Amino acid sequence: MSAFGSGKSYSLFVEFGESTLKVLAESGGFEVPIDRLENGCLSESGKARITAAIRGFLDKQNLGKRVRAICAIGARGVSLRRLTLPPAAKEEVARLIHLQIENEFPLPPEELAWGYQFLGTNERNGDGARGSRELLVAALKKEVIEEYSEILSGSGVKAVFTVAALARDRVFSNRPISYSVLDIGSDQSELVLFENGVAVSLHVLPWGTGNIGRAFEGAAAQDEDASGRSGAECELGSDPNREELSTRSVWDEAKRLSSLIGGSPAGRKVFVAGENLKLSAITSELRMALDGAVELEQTEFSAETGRSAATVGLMTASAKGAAGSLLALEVRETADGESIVRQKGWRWAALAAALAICSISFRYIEAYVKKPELAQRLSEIRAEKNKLPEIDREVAFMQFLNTNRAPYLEAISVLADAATRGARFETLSLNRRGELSLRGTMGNSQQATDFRTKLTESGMFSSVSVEEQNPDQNRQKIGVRITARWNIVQRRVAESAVNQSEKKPPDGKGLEK
Amino acid sequence: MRSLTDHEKRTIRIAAIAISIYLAAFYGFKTWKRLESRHADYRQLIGEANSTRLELQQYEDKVLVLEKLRKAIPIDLSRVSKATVVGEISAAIQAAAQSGGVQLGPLRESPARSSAKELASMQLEGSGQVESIMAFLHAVERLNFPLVLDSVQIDPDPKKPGAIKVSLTIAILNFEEWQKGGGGNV
Repeated sequence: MSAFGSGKSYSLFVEFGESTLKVLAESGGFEVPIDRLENGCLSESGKARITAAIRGFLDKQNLGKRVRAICAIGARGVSLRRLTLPPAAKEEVARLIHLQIENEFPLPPEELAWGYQFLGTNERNGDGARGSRELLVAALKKEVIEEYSEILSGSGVKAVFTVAALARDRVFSNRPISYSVLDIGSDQSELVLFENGVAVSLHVLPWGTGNIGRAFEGAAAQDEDASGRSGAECELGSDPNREELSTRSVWDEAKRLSSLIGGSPAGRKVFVAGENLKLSAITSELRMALDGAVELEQTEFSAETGRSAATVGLMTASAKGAAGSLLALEVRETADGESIVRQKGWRWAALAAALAICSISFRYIEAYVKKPELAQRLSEIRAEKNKLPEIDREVAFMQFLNTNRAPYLEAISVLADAATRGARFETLSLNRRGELSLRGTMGNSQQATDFRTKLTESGMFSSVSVEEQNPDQNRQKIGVRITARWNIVQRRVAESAVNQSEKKPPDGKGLEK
Repeated sequence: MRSLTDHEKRTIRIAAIAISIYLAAFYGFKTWKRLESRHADYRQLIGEANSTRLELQQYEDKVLVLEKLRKAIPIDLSRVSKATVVGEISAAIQAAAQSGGVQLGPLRESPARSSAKELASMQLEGSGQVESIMAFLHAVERLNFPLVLDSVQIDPDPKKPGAIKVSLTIAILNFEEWQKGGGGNV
């Protein structure tokens, strides 16, 4: 599909010539001289001037911010080829064109801006089967298009590019089947040959209207040298010699131009376009130089600013809705935009598939990578686990020891503290089952009562009972027999055991009270 | 060699695609089953690892308790032998009595009940001043052997005025029985 599309409307028509930029709109146009560097690229100042001029024009014409334009470029650097594609499926065409361009052009397609037009299909053997297809391909270095595109987009113009030489014939209404279009510029001319309405060759001729001036000046200088007069003494209008020199110069240059265009347009009609001021004189002289072998027809549109055969031809094509028939030059990464999209689509699909595979495989990769290590670690832990019952048994043994090591000294100490003066213990019996019994003497029954109270209050003893209490023969003392239970387990915790291990043993002085 | 026609090329292309799809489906399914099986094994291992971790977490507390008890009762069971422990305890008691100024009387050893996981039982008597007897009791309580003071009886010593007599019953634990397993019935 052409980049011009169908049904698109364009409001600006641009021609990038060798030395002049011509811009045409419905309401008017303008021209800007182009400053080129030695390599043919535009200078930075020239770019800025063009950008400013286009912006100014758009503002003045009130054409809006985003303007669509068709931009025609000169024939310098443009190669035109007529190619034949073998029969192929529709989706293969783009790839085949790409291959053909790779074969036919000196640069790879990636370095070119190129476009094509299908010319027709040759039916094979007349049986209606799909045959080879003819197409016209134009190409040039993509840097040219990129440079122009940058300038125009910087001005707010969205442009589609074509070759100016292929658009000029649209200004001529009575075109025969085969013809040529000659555009005469100031320094060079462009000649394009059409056969059966299709461009078959494009030539840049090293001849322009400037050649006439230079030829006249050369002849005048020779004449002055011969006659000994200076240029100031004679003027073109008054001096018959100079008029003759001028006519001869035009004639000579017309003959030179006729030799350049040679026999290529022989027998055909040549449409002549160019700068209107000198065009009529050149055309008539050229007609004579060609000796009537070729029919010449000159463009007949008003010479207003911005109007050229190319810009007017583009405007005419757009007005007739025939912009789609123009050959669009595009910078393409691969064979065709469609295949770019397809390749990108495939790339995304491949990426998505790779991601999906990765996300699914993580589930299994984890099992493959970590399982051996985990299994080994588990077997080690299981081996270690066999030792766990030993810990259980040792804990149980140590806890048994801890709870059964009765604090005999502590109990004796509490007994000694609870005893009042005059008390005397004769027998004391303690065991680890918590049984205590003692026998002794005390001053009176009150002391026995106090002793029992103190034992209970100490918290170490419970169920204290005075089983026997007998006054002695003198009735000055009483003999007592006491039993109690002492709380061993509650007092035996590990921390207290630690503390007790640091305690000094009681001196037992209380027993003597 | 005859070049293939477009129709033949198309047939070969379709056949190749069909075979590729079949092979991908057949071996893909097998591979997928194998991967799933391996993954299931891995999940099972993870489950076992988690349950083991929970089991071991319980032992963290037990180990802490054991360390605390070892500090409180500094007995190194690995250095104690069942064959010699009774003799060692007897010697340690006599040494403690001698250093504390306690005069030991009769010392009787008797085999203990095996059901109670006791190795032996020991009865002894000693006499001395009150301070000496208390120091002796303290020393016996702190002996780093698997023993338990079963009972203590203190009486006045009729032979020596001002002195007291102490009778001790000591149970020597059969620690090897504990280490073999089963709770004690002591």
